[in-house]
Amino acid sequence: MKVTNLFRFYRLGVGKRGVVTTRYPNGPAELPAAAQCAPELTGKCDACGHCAEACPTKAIAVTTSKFTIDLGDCIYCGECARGCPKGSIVMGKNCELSARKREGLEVSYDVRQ
Amino acid sequence: MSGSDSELEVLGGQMKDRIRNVLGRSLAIREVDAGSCNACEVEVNALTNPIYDIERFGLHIVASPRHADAILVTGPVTRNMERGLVQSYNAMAEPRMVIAMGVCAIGGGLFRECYACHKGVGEVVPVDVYIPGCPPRPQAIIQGIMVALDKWQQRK
Repeated sequence: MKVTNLFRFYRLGVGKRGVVTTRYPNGPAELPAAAQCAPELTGKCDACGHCAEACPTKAIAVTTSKFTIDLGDCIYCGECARGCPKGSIVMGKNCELSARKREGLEVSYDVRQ
Repeated sequence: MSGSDSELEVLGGQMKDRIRNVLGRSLAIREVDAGSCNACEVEVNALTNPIYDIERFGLHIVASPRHADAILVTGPVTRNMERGLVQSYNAMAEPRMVIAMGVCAIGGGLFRECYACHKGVGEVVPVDVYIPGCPPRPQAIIQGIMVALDKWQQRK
C-alpha cells in the first residue's frame, strides 16, 4: 500500500536520535562551540577605555585600578572583546551567573599592566 | 537502558526530592511577558523540549498566576503591561517569588532611555532572583530557579 510506504522511514529508523536530554543541573552545562556568555578579562590591561566606549549598553567601567562589568546591563554582544587593542577580553563560557541582589551581578577584576 | 541513562534518572530524582522537600509539591512557574522582544520566551520554550526537559524535575510552566509559586518576568515592563504585572503578582498565593529574567527585566537594558517603559521589574514589584543574559541560556534559567529554591529553603 502506498500509505504505509509513506511512513516506511519510521520502521527503518531514519532520524532516530536516542536519548538527547542533557544532564544539567546534575552535571556540567554543555555549551555549543559558538556560544558566548559574559565577557572576562583574562590578560593584561592598560585601562585605555576602548572597551567602555565600544559597549552599547555602557555596562563596563574602567579605572586605573579596577575593571568592572555590570552583568545586569551586559547583552553579551562581544563588542568589547573586538574593541580591545590587546585582545585581553574574551567571551566566557560560564552561564551560571544568577544572583539574589542587583549588586551581586557586578563582576570586577584588578587591572594588571 | 544503558548505565548512564539510569544514572540520569536517579540524579533527576534527587532534584525532584529537593523540590518536594522545599515546597511540599512541585514548583509551578507563570511566565509573564512584560514587553519583551520574545527572545527570552524562546528560551523558556526550550526549557520544556526534550533536551532540557524541566518537567522531569517537577517544574511546570502553568497557565495562570493563581496556580503559580513564582512568576518569571521578561521585558522592561511597558506602561501598558504595568497593571497586568501588578495584578499577576497580587493573584499569586504566598509564599510567592518574582524572578527577573534577562537584561531588560533587570535594569531596562537597551530600553533604559525609552519613554514608554520602566527601568526593569524592580520598579514595579519586588524581585527575588535576577538571571542575567540577553537572552539567558536555558541552563542559566535552570540555575536561577535553583537559586530561588535556595531562598525558599532559607525562609522555611
